Order: sequence, then structure tokens, then C-alpha cells
Amino acid sequence: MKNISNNPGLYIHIPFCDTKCGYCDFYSITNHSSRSEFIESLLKEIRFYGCNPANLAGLNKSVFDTVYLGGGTPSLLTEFELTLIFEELNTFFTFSANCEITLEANPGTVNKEKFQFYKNIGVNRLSIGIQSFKDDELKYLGRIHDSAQAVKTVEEAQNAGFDNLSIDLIFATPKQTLDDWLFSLNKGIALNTQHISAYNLIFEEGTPFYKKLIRGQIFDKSEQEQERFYAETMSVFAKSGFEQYEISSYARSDKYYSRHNYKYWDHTNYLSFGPSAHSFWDGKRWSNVRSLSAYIRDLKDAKSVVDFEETLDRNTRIFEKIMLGLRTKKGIDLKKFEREFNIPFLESYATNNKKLLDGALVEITDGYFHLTQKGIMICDEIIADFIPN
Amino acid sequence: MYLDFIRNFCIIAHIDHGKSTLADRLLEETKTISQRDLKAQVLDDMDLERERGITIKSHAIRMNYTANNKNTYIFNLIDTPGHVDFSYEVSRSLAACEGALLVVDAAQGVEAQTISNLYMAIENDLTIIPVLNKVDLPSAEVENVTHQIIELIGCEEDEIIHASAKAGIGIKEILERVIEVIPAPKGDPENKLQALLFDSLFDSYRGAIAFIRVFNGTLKKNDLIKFFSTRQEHSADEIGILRLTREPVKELKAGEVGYLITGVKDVRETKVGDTLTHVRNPASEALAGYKEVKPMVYSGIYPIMSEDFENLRDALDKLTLNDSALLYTPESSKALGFGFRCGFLGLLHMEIVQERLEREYNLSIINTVPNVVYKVHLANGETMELDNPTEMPNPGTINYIEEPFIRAQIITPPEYIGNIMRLGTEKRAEFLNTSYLDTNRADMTFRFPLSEVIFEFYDKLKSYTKGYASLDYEMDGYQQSTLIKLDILINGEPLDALSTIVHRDKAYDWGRKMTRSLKKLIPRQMFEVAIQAAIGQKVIARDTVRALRKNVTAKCYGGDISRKRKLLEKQKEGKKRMKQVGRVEIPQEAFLAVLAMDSDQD
Repeated sequence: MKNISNNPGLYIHIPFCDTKCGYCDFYSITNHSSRSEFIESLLKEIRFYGCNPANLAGLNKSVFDTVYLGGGTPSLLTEFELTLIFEELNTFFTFSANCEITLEANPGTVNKEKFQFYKNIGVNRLSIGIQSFKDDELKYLGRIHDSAQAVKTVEEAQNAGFDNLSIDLIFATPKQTLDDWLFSLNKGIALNTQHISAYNLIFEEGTPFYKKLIRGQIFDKSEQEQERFYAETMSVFAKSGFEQYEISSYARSDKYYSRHNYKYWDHTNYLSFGPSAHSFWDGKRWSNVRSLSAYIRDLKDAKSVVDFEETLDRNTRIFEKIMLGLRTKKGIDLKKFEREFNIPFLESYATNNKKLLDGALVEITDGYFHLTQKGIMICDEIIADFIPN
Repeated sequence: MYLDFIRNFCIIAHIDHGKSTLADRLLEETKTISQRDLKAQVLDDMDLERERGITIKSHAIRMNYTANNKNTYIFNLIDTPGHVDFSYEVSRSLAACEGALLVVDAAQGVEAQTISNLYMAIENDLTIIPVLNKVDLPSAEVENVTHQIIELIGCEEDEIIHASAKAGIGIKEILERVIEVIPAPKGDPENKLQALLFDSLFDSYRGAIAFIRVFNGTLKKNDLIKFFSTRQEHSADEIGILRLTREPVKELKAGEVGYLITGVKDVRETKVGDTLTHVRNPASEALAGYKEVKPMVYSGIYPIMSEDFENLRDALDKLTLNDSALLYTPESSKALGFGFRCGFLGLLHMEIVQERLEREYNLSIINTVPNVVYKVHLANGETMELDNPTEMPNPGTINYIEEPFIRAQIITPPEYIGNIMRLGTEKRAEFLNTSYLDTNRADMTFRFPLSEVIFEFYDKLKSYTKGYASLDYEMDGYQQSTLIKLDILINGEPLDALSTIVHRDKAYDWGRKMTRSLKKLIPRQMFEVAIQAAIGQKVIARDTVRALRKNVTAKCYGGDISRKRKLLEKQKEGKKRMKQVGRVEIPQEAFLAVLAMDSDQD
């Protein structure tokens, strides 16, 4: 059974880190002085939605089947803090019996005892931010751990009884050779986790890496090199029995898909709490303010922390469906598409689709329109052409 | 007799020799305008004119000057366009005058335009007053340039007025000399009406406003008049004289300069060079010199956004209200969709129109490679005028083709003669002769195919002579050439907007440069793009834009889908500015690839 569901998911953003990594542009701060105020505010936000379920259609009847604690570094939370959050969630929302509860944990911030606690409190999936098994790369990326710690962390999690583990790896970083990458990749695979996310480095605007890139102090890999890295990545995963089910996501079987992430990709509702957290509900997207102090202040004043919202019009919903669908291996469900939008996908984009099919960039398999290996390589280019003029 | 107290004159000069500044000083000295009102270059109305320091339209202004002899004179100063594209307009403005101030920059010396304008003035029998301007500059070479002027017009040294328009030197002397040497206009106010229309402009409230010089007879307000060329009859709703603003008067008599408003909507009916007379008791013949102005250079103008087509039409419509030389007809291109084939007097005119469309009408346009008008003589004895390379008939049906030539005059310090000869060879020129204005100035004459002057000619001339040479030219008929049509194919499909007509000997070189420069301009995309240059079926050059290898963002930013979507929308925005040809997206710059060709040195 594919680990995909239509029940809504729940995300909590923990905006604290010990250090900032040069490439990362998720919202986090290294000053922990307002930790307790943050927890207080977060509980308030959870309570606000919990007490006003009528604000969101169907919320009162919703059974959530994923919880995802992301960051930042959620593994920095104390047992007490985590307990408070979980209690608040349980008070106000309903969760399914098989709810997938993921926590992002970074080596260097966890130990046996913590894992045992996670297990006890109900966390059943860990996403471990390893990134690399090369110590010099880890240092360069700004990570606080080394390769040995990374291995130890995974083993400790496994020993604590976690049987749904994911690790994050990054490739095509500035100084990395293909051999370096294959070393990390193979080492990651050898750890026998159920899931691996392997990301090609992105130079995100505003990050220290981006600034260095602009100043010419570091260089991005050439397109050909990146193609090579990515192709090798896919091939190594395939040989190792992993299924690539999304651009950067690989699982040992469809049982180990990230149920929570998949909600992002198929327009399933998700509700999010914490600064900079993004929600999607009933065709509406919104996000919270990307500032912890503003988040705390506004919740104190009982004001909304939402600072962006949009209601997707029909064209945008259609485009997002295509954009997200094509990023998954399975692709776009043609029947479902037609049912939902009352237009046939193949005919509606006939010229474009013909071009893509003729070029062997897409294929249609069992009623799904999906990218080929060649197509995945230029996914953004392909998707952009589906934007209505 | 009132005629004795009128002087009609103009100023002729090479660009930057101080014509407009001198005009400003004359207006000040005659108190036509106060120092306070004076923004630099009063007569240049258009932003573009002031920015580029050139005059595009003709203007006229009336001054009253009380001379040393205590008599008060009416001066009509007619400012003329200063570019070869507008040489017909210049000639008509000159025809409205009896004299000309020939302004020469004391530091720059005599330049090509000085000479060509001077010849035109002499052709129109104008009395020339030589003015040596900018004599106060440290770099002024008064003696040398004085010598050049004497050589050029055969005057005496003491006839040359030393002036500095900037510093106000010699202004009074110029005004006195105008009275002394420029003849008063002739003509008889009792005669049948003959008035020369030397320019017109469009006013959004009044319609076309014609600038006229009355040669014979008297034009009264509300007179019924007609134009010789168009045979249209109108009523002279308003006539007047031109000071800083228009001042209506009851009549304009022979010898006078003024304006005329008839209710004609746009300037296409008020043709420069036309003669007007009374409907009743008309003059038997028009004044000499009228010509139907014909565009020399054609180019396609297309909206980047196809939905802007109607806006472009409106904008062109409005431009032609004030610019009768601009021609346009709708055309369609496989590559660019719907647009207009536009005819221009020359390259400057073309640039001005493009710039005005973008600036004043906020349109994003693509203009295709400009071309000249060819005369194609068909085997069946017919001749067609070809202004669009895509309409070139099948070579089998062609007997021969003629292309327009120009006679170009290049004035240069002698050390660059070798370089200019080289430019001549590169540009298929026929060298005619060299003479010397003095030991520092050679005057070279060539015949060039006009098509060769359209592309990167000025830039090359500048770089070959470190900016010291000046150029002027006039049309010099048609001549048979070995011309062929060169097509550009994208993935095997001809891209009509990039077809050009080139000389056979240059085709290979041209084709290679085209494909190479297109390769640089066309971004890599999903599929390989083959760029070929071909003559008929024969491919003579090829370049390839390799397919995009990787373009995929690793992450979808967690739940922040809006962000990913916006990034893609931005990517798409960039693509929107491109034209889709088959499955290839071509940026607008590619359609001007030819113009960029020579700037790449590899």
C-alpha cells in the first residue's frame, strides 16, 4: 500500500538552531533566549485554531494522519517542551491511530535517551539531517557534527526501535567531487534507513552561500556536472533497491514514502503552526510571519500572525496540480484531473504535450502522465510551459 | 516698401558646431525671448531633439531687430533639421530663405555636413554669411579654419565673422551683417498667391499647422486656398506669425513667413515643399522643387505582445499625424505574427520612430533587420520595387536586381585615408576622388551601396578614424548588383523575419556571422536548436544550440508551494518576451542579430 492519504496533515516549525548553515534558507535563529516565549506562543496559536474550528471548513471533523516537526532543529526541544506541544495538539485535534509523526533530528543534538523519549511520546519517524559523510564537507556546509557522529546517530535511532528513518544528503556542493558524493551516498545507503532525501544544492537568495556566489568567492557546478551528479544519484539508488518517488525523495518501498510531504504534492490539506509556517486548506494558502519576535508579539496581542494569504483561482489550482504532479514519479492522474477540473488534460495541452511526448520527456503509464528520466532533468523547464499565458 | 525691412535666413552647420546655441543668442539679442525663459535650445521642442542635440523638425521664429541705422527689421529665422535623413526638408527650408549663416566650429573645422548643407544653400541661391564660432575656445584654430572657409566659399578673410554663441561674442555683428548682405525678399503682394509650405506639425487641438513662406500675393484670413500637389481646397481658418507662441494676424504678404491652420487633421495632407494658392484667381504654376518623399529604409515593427497590435497601429497613426515621411502597412510574419512594414527616410528616422513608440507610447516592439528598396527586374519585363526580403521572387524569374547607391563625402585628417579606403573595400564602395581642404583635411568621395551604410557603418567609420572623420551623403541612383536572398532556418524552418538580401560575395561571411551571433542569443532549451543560413536550398553555415541538460529545483520549499510557483511564473515571464517559432523560443534580440554581428570579435 502506498503511504499516501487524503487526511489532513499538521506541521510545526521550530525556529531554533545551534548554528546557521551557509546554504539553508529556512527560517531559524541561533539566539535561544525566547525559547519559553516561543513555546507559549505556539501553544496559543494551536489553541486559537483548536478553539475556532469553524474558521476552516471541515476542521472540526478532520482526522489528521501526519504530524511533522520541522525547522530549524526540532531535536533541540527539551522533553518538557515537546510534551507541552503534543498535549496541546491532542487536546484540540483528532489524530488517526496510524498517524505518521515525524521529527527532524540533527546529529550532535540527540542521544539514546532522547530517542527513547521520542519513541515513548509517539514519534514514529525521524528525518535526520546528515547531509554528508565527509568531515571537510560538513565543516564547509556549516554543520556541527562529523561523519562518525552521523553514523552513530542513525544507529542509536535504530537501536531505539525506529523502523521508519530518513536521512538528508546534499550533493553538487562547491568543493565536492563526484567520488566524494558517491562515497557519502553509498555510506548513507549502507545505513539501511527506509528513506533518503538527496538534494542538489540550491544557492538560495539571502544565504551566505548565495552572497559568496555573487561575489565570485565560490562557484556553482556547471550544468553538465550537476546533470552527471543527479544521473549517478538516480542510478545508484535504483541499483540499491530504492524507488525514486519524487525529484529528491527515495524510499525502500512505497510503504516508506513521506506521507506528510506527499500532502504538499497532491493538494491535500495541511495546517501549520510556528513562525514562517505555511498552510494549505480548502484551496487557500497562507503563511505566518517570518520573525519570531513578531510571532510572539502578535500572539501576545491576540493578533493574527498570518502575513501572506492567497486563494488559488481555478487556473492556479490547475497549474499547481500539474507543477506538483509532475514532480512526483507517478505523475498526473489523468482521470482524476479531468474529474476535478472538468477538462481533459491531454487535449487541453495538446501542443505542449505532443512536443514533450515526441521528445521522450514524458510518458503516459496506466493513466498517469509523468516525466521520463530525461524529463526529470529539466523538470522546471517543462513545468513552466504549463503556466497559462 | 515693407519688403526692404524683412530678412529671411537660416543657420547651417555640422552637428555640434553651435547652431542652436547661436539661434538662442539671436533671440536674446533681439529681445524675442528673455534670458529667464531661455532653456537651452529653444527651437528644439521634442525631448528627443534636446537629448540628442539634433533638430528633427523645422521651426521658424520671427524677431524684430532695431539696427544701427535706427530702422526696425523683421527677421525670420528658419531652423532646419540637421541630418541627412531629412535633407529634403532641409532643402525646402532653405528655399524659404534668402540667406544663410554658415556656422563653422573654430576647433573642429569644416565637416561633411557643413559642405553638403552649404552646397544645398548655394543651389537655392542663398547669400552666405560665414561665421567662425567658438573662437574663444583654447583649442580654436582660427587661422586654419579661416583658411578652410575661404577655400570652401571663396570669400574674403574679413567677411568671416568671429563669434562665440556661448560667450555672446559677435552676435550684434551677425545681426547687422544680415541686414547688410542678405537681400530683402522679392515678390509682389498684389500678384497671384504663391506660398511655399516648408514644414508642418500636428497640434492635438488645431490639427495640422503648416509653416509657410509667401513668395507672391497676399494670404488673408478665411481665404479659400488650395494645394498644388493634393488639389485639396481649404479655408485659411487662421494665419499668423511665429514668435515664441503663435500670433494670429489678418494677412501674410509676399516675403513674409508664418503659419496657416486650415482644419486639416493630419500633416499627411500638408506636404512639405507643396505650393498653395487661392482657389479663385490662382497662380498658374507651383514653386519649383516639390518632391514626393519616398522612404529609403524599410523595417518590420512588431509588438512583442501580440495583443498590442492595435495599440501599435494607434501609435503609428498618431506618429504619422506629425511625421508624413513615415509609411506603414500591416504585414504578418510567420515568426512574429502581426505587425507593420514601415518605411523611413533613413536610419536616424527609423531610430527616432522606434524610440518614440517605446517612450511616448510605452510599447515593447521588435523591429526586424532594416533593408533598402531594391528594384527587381523580372524576366517578363516587369520591374518590382522590393522593400521586404521575404517577398523576393523566385530567382528563376529574375532578370537582374538593382540596389540604391549613395554618393558619400567623408572629411578626414589625412592620416586616416588608408583606413577609410579599407572601409570602402569592406563596404563595396567605388572610390571617386580625394581633394584637400587644407593640409589637415582630406575630402574623399565614394559611391556606396546604401545597404552597406545601414549596418555598422558609422561605428566603423568612427573607430577607423578615432572619431575624426565626418560623413554626409546623398542618394545617387540605382545600379545593378549580384544580390541574393539569404535565409535563416531554425530547426529547418525558415525564419522569415531574418531573411536578408546580400551581395553574393558576402553571403558566406554574412551567413556564418548570423548563425554564430544567433547561437549566442538563443538560450538553451528543451531541445537542440539547429541554426542554419541558406541560399535557396543550399545551407552555407550552421550552428547548434545544445539542449538544456539540467534545470530542476531539488526542493519544493516544504509547504511553501506559492514560492516555487512564483519562481516558475518568473521564469515564464522571461519566456513571454520571446517569440515561439515552432517549438523554439527566440528572444527579441535575435531578430536584430545582424546589427550585433560585428561587435563580436571571435
